[in-house]
Amino acid sequence: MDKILEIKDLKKDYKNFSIKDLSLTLDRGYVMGFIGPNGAGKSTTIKLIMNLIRKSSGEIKLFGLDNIKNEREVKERIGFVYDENYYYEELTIDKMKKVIAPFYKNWSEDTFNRYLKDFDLDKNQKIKKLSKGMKMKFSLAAALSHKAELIIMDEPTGGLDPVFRREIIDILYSLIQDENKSIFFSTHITTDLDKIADYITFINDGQLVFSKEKDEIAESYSLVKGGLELLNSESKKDFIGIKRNSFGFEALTDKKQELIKKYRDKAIFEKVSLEDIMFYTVKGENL
Amino acid sequence: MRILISNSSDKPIYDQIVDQMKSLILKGDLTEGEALPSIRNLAKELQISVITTKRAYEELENEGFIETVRGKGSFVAEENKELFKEKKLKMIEDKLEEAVTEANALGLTEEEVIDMVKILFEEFK
Amino acid sequence: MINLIRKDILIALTKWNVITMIFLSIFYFIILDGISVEKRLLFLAAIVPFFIMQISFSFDDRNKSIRVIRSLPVRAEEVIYSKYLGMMIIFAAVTLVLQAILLVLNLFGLNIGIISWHKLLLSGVFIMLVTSISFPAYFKLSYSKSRIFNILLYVFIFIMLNSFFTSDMDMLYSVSKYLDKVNIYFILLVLVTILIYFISSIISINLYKTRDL
Repeated sequence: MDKILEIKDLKKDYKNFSIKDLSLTLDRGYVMGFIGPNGAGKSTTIKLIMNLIRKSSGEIKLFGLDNIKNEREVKERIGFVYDENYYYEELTIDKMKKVIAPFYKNWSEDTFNRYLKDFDLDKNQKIKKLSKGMKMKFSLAAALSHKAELIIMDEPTGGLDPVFRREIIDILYSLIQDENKSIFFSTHITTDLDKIADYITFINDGQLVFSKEKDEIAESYSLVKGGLELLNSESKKDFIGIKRNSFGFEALTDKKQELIKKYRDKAIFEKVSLEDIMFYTVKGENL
Repeated sequence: MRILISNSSDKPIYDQIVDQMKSLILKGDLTEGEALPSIRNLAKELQISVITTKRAYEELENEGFIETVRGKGSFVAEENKELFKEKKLKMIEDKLEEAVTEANALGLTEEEVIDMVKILFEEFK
Repeated sequence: MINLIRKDILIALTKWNVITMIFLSIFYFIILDGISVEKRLLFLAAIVPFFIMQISFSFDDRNKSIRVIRSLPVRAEEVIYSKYLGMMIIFAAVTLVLQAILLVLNLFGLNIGIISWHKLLLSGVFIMLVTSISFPAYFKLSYSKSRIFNILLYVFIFIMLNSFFTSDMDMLYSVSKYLDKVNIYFILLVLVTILIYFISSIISINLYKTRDL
């Protein structure tokens, strides 16, 4: 059983927004980046996985078990890192640990202390006195100290400086060395994912745009730059989003190989970043 | 062992790794039976996806350059002199083709190119 | 579940809160002059558990710390049972502390006796009834909305208590007479209250499950 996370046809209806038919799979040992613009439904999806909000319909399985029927077992094996600090600010790190640790069967005091040391955290420091980055590190330390097999992170690096974000990525790399752990990581800072992610799931306006291997994306998506004369009602269909300026156009396509053959020297094909993909997909033709 | 990835190159990353590893093996920088870093370790060091390194190793294995043993890791394959020679020749051919293409684009004649080759060979004497 | 109760107590009993509670307790004690010592202590025994629980509820809600708790291996039901149970555990602890203080004072010569256990049980009944009404409101609505409801509830209760203590209201007086000894009505009252408490927890669970955090 190596699907650590499986979501099938998930639906959640709100007044002004819904998640519709979201499906994705993550195998053990891999990192999945979960991207989408603000308000796309990333946090909602994660809350649905963690059963913090009720789904309208659909199935969510973790480690092959239903996330609601086996809520407790499943949560024993998940390390969760939030975007904002929801901890009890008045408590010290040590006290907060004393609140959390007893809930886990596999809590390892040694591991936790080792992380505190690595992260340079003082256990007698009050949580409210920690910087955003330190709070995040504390979250991570707690999430990694009970032999969790799946780490779920909801926008963990928002608001953190680039130096710090690199450090976190390094920590995550070290984590997945043993092939046993998976990481599910939602963010809109896609540069973090350009490195470590194995799979990318892109959600927009509550719907799945794609869930693919990152390498596959690099091979099929491309930025196409060409003269305006190349655009007509036919050729427009090849593109997901187009941006025009007075000297030409820039567009996103997911049919890279096909278009290279079609246009040859008439257009420039450039490597596309996840950010480009997000931008063009969300903006579409409205540029 | 030196592997350098260019993010701005058009060549897919796994391809770059395959090429560079092949070179190292053909040149002898990596010897027969030598242990290679695990795919995860390599991914971490190069800061790329583990699927990419996995693919690179798979391709190297398909082409006979490395061998992967379950539970132990990947190793440089035993040298098959014929096969290697063939591969080296192919590599040289590819590079010559590149050079000739460029020369052509620039408008150089066959003679001018051969002269350049002669000069380069001088450096080895 | 014990972990959850322990968490609530840990959170509520910070240095500041403990000092405030002691200060307020002394304040109430002095203010309620004219009522017997026993009754004043009963009042405290009834109020302090509420105070402590309110702190934990407000943290859970305002800081959204409940999200951290719900991402731990706990089921939603446990969160609710822990609050109901916690309330009574705190009440038991508070009464024990008060009794202990009185015992010590007695040993030192102040002949004030201790609070009658029977009246303490009545206090407990009182707490259970009020909790049975106010908790479901909390679990269904957010803390701020349920606060309004609870304030109205407390005001109502305060007025009721007042009359109870001054025993000027005939009906209440006769009711209290019935309950003044451990008899069949008393035992029945206690059992029924426990049942109501349990039912309230079930209602709370159902309300809570429909809520999105």
